[in-house]
Amino acid sequence: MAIVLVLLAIGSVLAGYVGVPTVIGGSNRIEHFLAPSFAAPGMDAGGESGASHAEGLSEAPTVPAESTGEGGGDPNTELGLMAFSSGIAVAGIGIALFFFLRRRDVTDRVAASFAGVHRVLLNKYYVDEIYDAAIVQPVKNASERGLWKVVDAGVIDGAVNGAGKLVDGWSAILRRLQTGSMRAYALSVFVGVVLILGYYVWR
Amino acid sequence: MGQALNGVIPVICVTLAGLACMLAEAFRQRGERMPIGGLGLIGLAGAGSAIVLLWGRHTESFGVVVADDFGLFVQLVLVGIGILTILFSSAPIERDKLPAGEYYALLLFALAGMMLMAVATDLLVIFLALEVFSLAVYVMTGLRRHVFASTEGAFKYFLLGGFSSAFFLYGIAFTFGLVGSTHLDRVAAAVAAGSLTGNPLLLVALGLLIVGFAFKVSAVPFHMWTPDAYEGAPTIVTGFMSTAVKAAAFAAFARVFLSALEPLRGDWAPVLWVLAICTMILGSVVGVAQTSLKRMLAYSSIAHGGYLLVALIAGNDVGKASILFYLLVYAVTNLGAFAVLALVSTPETPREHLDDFKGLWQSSPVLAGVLTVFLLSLGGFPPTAGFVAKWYVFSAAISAGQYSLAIVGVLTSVISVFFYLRIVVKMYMSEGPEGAAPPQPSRTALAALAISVAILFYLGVLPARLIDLAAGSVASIF
Amino acid sequence: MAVVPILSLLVALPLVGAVLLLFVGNRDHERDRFIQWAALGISLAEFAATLWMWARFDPARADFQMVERADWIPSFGIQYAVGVDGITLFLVVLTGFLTPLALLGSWQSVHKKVREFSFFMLALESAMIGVFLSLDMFLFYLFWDAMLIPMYFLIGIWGYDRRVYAAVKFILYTMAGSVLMLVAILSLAYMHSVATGSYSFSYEALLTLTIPRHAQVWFFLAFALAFAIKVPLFPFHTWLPDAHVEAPTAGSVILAGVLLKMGTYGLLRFAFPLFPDAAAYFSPLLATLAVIGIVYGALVAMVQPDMKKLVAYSSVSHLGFVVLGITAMNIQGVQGAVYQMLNHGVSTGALFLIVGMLSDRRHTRLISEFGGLKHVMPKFVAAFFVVTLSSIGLPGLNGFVGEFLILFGAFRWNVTFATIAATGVILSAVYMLWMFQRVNYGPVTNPKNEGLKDLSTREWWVLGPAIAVAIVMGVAPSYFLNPMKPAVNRIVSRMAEAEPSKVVRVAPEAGADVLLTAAADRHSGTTGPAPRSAGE
Repeated sequence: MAIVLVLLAIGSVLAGYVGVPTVIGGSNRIEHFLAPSFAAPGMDAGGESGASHAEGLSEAPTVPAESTGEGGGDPNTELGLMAFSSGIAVAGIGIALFFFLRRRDVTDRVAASFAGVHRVLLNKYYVDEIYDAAIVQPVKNASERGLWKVVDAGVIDGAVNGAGKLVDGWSAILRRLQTGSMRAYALSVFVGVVLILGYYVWR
Repeated sequence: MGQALNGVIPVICVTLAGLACMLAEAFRQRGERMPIGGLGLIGLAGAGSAIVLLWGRHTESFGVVVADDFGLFVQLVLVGIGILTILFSSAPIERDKLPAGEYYALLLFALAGMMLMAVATDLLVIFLALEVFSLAVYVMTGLRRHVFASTEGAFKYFLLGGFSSAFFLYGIAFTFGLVGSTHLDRVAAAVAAGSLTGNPLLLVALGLLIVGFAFKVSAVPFHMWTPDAYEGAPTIVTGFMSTAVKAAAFAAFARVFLSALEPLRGDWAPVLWVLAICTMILGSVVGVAQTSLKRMLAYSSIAHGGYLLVALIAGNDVGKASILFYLLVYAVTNLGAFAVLALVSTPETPREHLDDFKGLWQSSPVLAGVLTVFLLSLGGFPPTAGFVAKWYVFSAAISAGQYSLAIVGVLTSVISVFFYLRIVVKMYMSEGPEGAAPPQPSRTALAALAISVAILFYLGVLPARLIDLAAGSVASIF
Repeated sequence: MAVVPILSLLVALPLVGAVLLLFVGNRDHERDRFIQWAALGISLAEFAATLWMWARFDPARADFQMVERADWIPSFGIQYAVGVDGITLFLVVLTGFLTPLALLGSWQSVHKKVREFSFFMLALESAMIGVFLSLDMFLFYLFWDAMLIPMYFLIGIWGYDRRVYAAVKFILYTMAGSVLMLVAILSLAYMHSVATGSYSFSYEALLTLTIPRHAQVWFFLAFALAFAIKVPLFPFHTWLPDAHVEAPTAGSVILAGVLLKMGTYGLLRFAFPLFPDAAAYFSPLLATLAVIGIVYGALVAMVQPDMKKLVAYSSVSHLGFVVLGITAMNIQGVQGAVYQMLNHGVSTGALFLIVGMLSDRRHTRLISEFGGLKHVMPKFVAAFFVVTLSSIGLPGLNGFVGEFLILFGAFRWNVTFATIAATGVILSAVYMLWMFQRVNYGPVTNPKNEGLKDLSTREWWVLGPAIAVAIVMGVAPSYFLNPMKPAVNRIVSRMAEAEPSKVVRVAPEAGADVLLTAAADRHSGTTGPAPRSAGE
């Protein structure tokens, strides 16, 4: 397990160098990651007429600055944000140092005096259990019994197969007309004649 | 006199070949093997060359026959059907113990009648031609005399055919009574003159003519004979009649309705519209429930008749040309499909029902593959010709503003794809019985299948020439 | 200078190879290996050709490049016309990339009829590339329909237990949707003949057509239905789980990796630009279905016991994102959509390959049959992990870029859609990680899993390229986004002129008002200096 943590630590140290803020002299190497979808056009020799082409592409300014951002914005804000987030990280490291490395006894005492709170925290606020009962199981059951077995297999696929069965059923009914009896066949011809002539005479 | 014969030379060639077959059979010693089919092929080849020579000349004969490009195109289709049928026939004839001489003679006489019908320009000659080929086809349907279903199918076909012929003749009589002639030109002139407009007798004549044609193209509700006759007939005969009869009947149907009776479009189009919708829907829907392959394809051919009706109703230049294109593609496809059915059945393992085709891919991959191509073409899948044919017909419907016909057409073709695929499923996706003897089709039959498949792919990928040819041959007459 | 007709080569090469393979005699499987290598070789050559096309591609141009035209059915103005632009470029490369992986992935699992299997795979590749490259609607529809047949056979012959049902459902459902598109295409061509006197099926000619707005509505609906089924958009998706689950691994990879993209590609290429007014009018409806699909697909995926089905439903969710990006119709949304199509092809293709590897070993895909694989096959689990993260959309991997752009684009158009869709990102993490955890962590509970072999060299060759591409696409998206951009701009600016409000002539009722306003926002979002919706 430790090896994983080591890898993660190395990664987290290095990842920051991908986008060093401009204010301290860096540049963002992955900001042009999706440039072809956002960057301004201009050089394309498109097939459309110039006017409509330009119209279709004149959207670059509409994209919020932070997604394509040329420089990352106001230097003061940027410095402030850097200081703030670094401060929180350092404070967290300090508290952890105090409780887990220097004064383990304090940790145990705090845990004992707030037993209820400790249990809740130890079980991560029971969030997993609450999620499981309130969301995971209902969604799973509804998906399995409702969506899959009733809606999908029953209603939607039933309609598809029903269309096939409908043709089958009509086929079975209509084939009975073919009785094999000569008289029925002659009658069919006769009915046809009567209908056609009737249409002509009485329309 | 000599000149007047020119227009009917193709018909004469085929008739002579038929007579030759009869004579050959009469002089045949008992047990002697004789290549009678070859005589038919010679006659058909002669007819084919005559058609090519007559192409573009608009030859008139006796005042009742005009060998125009439209008629010649259909004749060419018929000759093609004849040649392919003969090539397929030898094995089925031996298996079903059909009398070869009679079979070929009847086949050729039927073809002669159909070819005459394609070029006839007089209602009475059309009727005559219709009866010539109908009688031959009735007999061919019942050729398996020892099989009950065959006789029954032939009998039903004969009785109902007679019934509808009577209506047709009645319609001709009314027309003659009103116009004083049965010649299409005179009828056209009289109808176009407008003096008959609103005359109820004209409408009755129109209705009766519709009935006569609708029966021959198996339009609903005059289709009832089709499944029974198709199932009863020897399979190869079914293939022949499902394609050739339809080609001849549609040729005359189009000629009568799109030229002579075109001014009455407002009167006949609604009726044909209803017939077309019913035919497409019933053919494809009822096909779904069939388990006998011949019946399934019988319903499929009813549905295809419906698509042809769509083109007929569209009736514009695109529509007329698409009838020709569709007839050719349908003929090759459907005849091929029935031929495979005829070829895969052996005396030991008759294959008529869906389940008999289980695992056919394992035992005879070539026949299964070829049948698949035909079925995909019937279903209208690219890159086969069936796709282009359907596209052509529906284009015609849309250019004529018949959106509803096009929509019903495409939707019913999806339904029919279902049953075409059922056969494919059985052949490829089910395990067959072990040790079933694979059928061994003859070389000629295989060659004919190869030609058919090649035509279907060729027309599926490069249809432009045939489309232009079809468009050119309708341009000259209508 | 003779110019190589590279696009025709791309279309023809696999098909010609496939047909040649049919002539290899293979009685009693003695040449199975040879056929597999030959098919792999053909597909690799095809992939090389797609890369060559990429190399020759000019990323600055918005129109179609390397266009080849030939009259085909002149009386109807039908041409054989192929061309590539920034949108199709990568879809073709993706197709070329996935086919060899799929073939290599089924090296062991396909035993019967290897020759025919390879034939159908390569024929399918030709048809798919044809769909992407066609510039003629007739040609497009031809490939679109032709593609169904090989896929039908792949599912039906080499699939799992209910393969026949799945294959028939796949082909009929897709056809039922697309035949109406055929009617619409024919009507368009006819409209062209009325307007200009001659038929044309050419995409670019049809773009110039002024289509009456009521007709646009019908045409758009016909096109959108065909594409919505293919995507598949909720509620037209039920063929997908069946087809995916029953298909052999290679079929699933191609189905998810390429076939589904044809739906979104069709929306973007045809349905939107051809009928801009109707498209703008229906965008909110499509987006609603897409958003429902995102959440719905994710929820249903979460509870699937079968891994393949889980991945299938996850596709519904992922493709919902793509449709959302397209309906947003601004540069980020559409670029994200195209990018996400590629991502989904790579990640989900790889996921199906991974599930296929497990299925090859254990002949089951049930999550409950596995557990603790980390102890048995660590290399496999490592690869699985990267692919899982890529599917979830972890930054640094491909999925993130696409989802981010789509959500950004959607946010600029309509905050509600974007917000709901964003929950799909969370849900995708839920179902993927949960599945990953149940399969790979914990003790080895099932003794059958104890002896499982880790990845073989062949399997490394299957997964390695996919993982590499996922990483490259995650860290260097501009290689892909740059060439796409001009073509995307072209469509976006065309759509910017759409006037959804004129589609309905009657004064909008209260309900329709919302739709219209939303559509108008989208419209202004692409042109105006400040997107109104984003400010709200």
